Amino acid sequence: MASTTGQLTFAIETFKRIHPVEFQRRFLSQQTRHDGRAFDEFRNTQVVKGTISTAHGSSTVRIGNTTMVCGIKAEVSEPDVSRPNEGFLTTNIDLSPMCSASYRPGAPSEEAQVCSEHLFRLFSGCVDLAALCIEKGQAVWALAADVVCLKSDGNIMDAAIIALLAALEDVQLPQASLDSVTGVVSADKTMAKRLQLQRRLFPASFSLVDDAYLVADADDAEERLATGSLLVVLDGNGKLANVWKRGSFIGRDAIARCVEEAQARRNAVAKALK
Amino acid sequence: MATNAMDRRRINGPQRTVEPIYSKDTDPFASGRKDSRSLDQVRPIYMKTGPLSTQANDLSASSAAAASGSAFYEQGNIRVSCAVYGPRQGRKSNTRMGSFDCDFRYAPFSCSWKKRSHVRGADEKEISLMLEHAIAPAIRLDAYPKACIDAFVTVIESDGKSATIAAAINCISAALVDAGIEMYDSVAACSMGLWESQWVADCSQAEENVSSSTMIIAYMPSADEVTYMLQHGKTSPDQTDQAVQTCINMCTRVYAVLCRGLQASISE
Amino acid sequence: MTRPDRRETSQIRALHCALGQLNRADGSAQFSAGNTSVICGIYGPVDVKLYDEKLDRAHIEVKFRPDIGVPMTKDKWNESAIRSTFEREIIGQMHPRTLVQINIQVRQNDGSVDAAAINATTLALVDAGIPLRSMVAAATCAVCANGNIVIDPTQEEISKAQSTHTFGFSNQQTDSPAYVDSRGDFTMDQYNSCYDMCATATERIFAFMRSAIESKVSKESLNEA
Repeated sequence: MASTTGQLTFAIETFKRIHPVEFQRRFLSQQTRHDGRAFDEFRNTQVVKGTISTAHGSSTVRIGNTTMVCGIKAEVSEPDVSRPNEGFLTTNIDLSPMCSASYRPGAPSEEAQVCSEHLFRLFSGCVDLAALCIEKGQAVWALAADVVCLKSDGNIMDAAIIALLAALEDVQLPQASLDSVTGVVSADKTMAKRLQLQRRLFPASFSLVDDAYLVADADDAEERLATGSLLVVLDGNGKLANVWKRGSFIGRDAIARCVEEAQARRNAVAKALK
Repeated sequence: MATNAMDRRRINGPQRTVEPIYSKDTDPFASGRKDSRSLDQVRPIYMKTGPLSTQANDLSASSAAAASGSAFYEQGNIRVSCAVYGPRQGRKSNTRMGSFDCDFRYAPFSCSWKKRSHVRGADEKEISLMLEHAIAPAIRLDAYPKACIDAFVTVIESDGKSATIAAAINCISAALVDAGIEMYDSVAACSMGLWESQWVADCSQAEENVSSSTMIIAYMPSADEVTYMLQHGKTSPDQTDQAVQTCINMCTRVYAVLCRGLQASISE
Repeated sequence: MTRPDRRETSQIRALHCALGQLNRADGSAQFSAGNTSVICGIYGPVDVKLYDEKLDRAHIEVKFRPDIGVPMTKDKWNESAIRSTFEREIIGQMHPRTLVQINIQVRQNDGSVDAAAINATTLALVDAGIPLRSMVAAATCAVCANGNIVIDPTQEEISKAQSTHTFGFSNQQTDSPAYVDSRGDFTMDQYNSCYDMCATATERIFAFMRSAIESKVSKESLNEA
């Protein structure tokens, strides 16, 4: 296999490496993508729940090559004075240099911070924090959800949302009680209760590649050329939970079409979660 | 108790959290080992090289951001993932020898004993250094002047502190082979715990909690050289002698498993 | 059903802006809508750190500081939103290997602060004379619990709202938004109504911006003469 530019002939691998923009354009202008997908096609998504025994709830999600592990640890803490019967949920994502060479070691990058914040905004409405109460004003559960990216090949946001949802659904909270005399919280792992979610979220990401082509579920090579991105999140009833568009212009009609496609994607994700 | 330092780059939970008191675990050795292993048996090993790096025939995988080599390693419940980058331009460019750096991290949910803080702990730094010392002697650093080889290791699940370190060493060894780094030999490692004057191989966390001494040995079987050895707790010199011998024997067996895994990855 | 401040549902709060208040910055603007007030200062084009240097265009950096406390992840989120919106609007190719720094300080937060920040940034960029493809203005809508849609909600209204929607529009392109952040529990119809309402509101904001810039330019030309 070889591609030609003028007089020069390269092996396809070389062409891809030295001129990635032109390489992708050759495919996109023919209404196809470099991995053979259609523009509105998402990669195969796999979800496995309960993969980690040291966490109270966990999941592993793969979207194509992108792999995320989410683990949730539950610990006990005092509630906030202004909300005496509500527990805590924190969501953080870890994008370490292990998953891609584009991440630096050390403190979380801006991308990781924005992603953590967005997950937090999305999921704070999904968990009934009052269900995390052990003893009003005294002790509540604090759920720490951490998403660790093992391999990043584009579309981190979708993978993180699905991983977090699956892990939250997997959470088994031990039966806990507060000893009012000693102030010690004791828990019984054999009497665990599953956490009930108020809302399930199903994400679908779209990227505007090279200012012209709107593709679903971009991989790393496409994301590098992306000038704009759109995230649509739907809930279990098909209502919208989030539309988040950044970067270059995406037309109003195109956004509406993406919401339609997200509905179809919702069914696929729901099936993978089963 | 964990005091969670306020970190403005992360979503913060409450300042202080504690692990609730769980009903007591039973003695792990009450009736033989829980997973019915014999005392000198290592937990089953599963290994896969190249899950994070580009495969030669895989066009769809992106080439620019992928690691040079990678490995995923399981030993019982322990799960470790490692990516190796390099040889690439180093920070200290004026050296005749290449350098090998290691970055070891526990995922926040990976430990059964507590939730780990996001801030890198002293133990993680210490283990990073241990791994560097254990692996570096095996790499032909003189073949990579001015270059730098980086290994990033993340523990996804741990079960036994020393066993996790040994698993990390094995995982890095496999990833280095996957990256095609020139080495004298692969390093295989294994750990043991002393329980009532008996050496027990590859302790789980529950077993490690009741053992009085632990030992980790990293060993290059073909070269017949020990690259790293660490012992905690008190033993008699004879017991240490005995442990070194047993550990080395076990390392050779682990090495055989590693080699078989690596051979399988080539023939795929 | 009246709003807490007795506005109509489609009525935005009183706008106020002042250009060039910060004399040490290359350009600055203060933008207020009712009790929400944001000040933005621009430095650029200035020297860039070697690490951030781009060979073919200017590097754009956004610093977002909240009214209370130190910057947290939510402020990083705003920084990223503003950068992604303006990265396309600023013609960075005219100043390669330089830095354009956008500093935003929230003075008072009474809801719809991200829209105010976008508006302040546009005005400050114009004031600094940074070449722009177009101007961007933004507005926020909230869907109340009773289904009413209100524009430019206050903090009180946002805290009770079912969903909030912020849309940014460029004055060159009317049929595609430059920035969208819709959050909460909403239907496509509600989304569309909010879209239309914000589009109408941004037209008013554009007119306001234009008159503010015109009056400043005419004042300056008088001084020169």
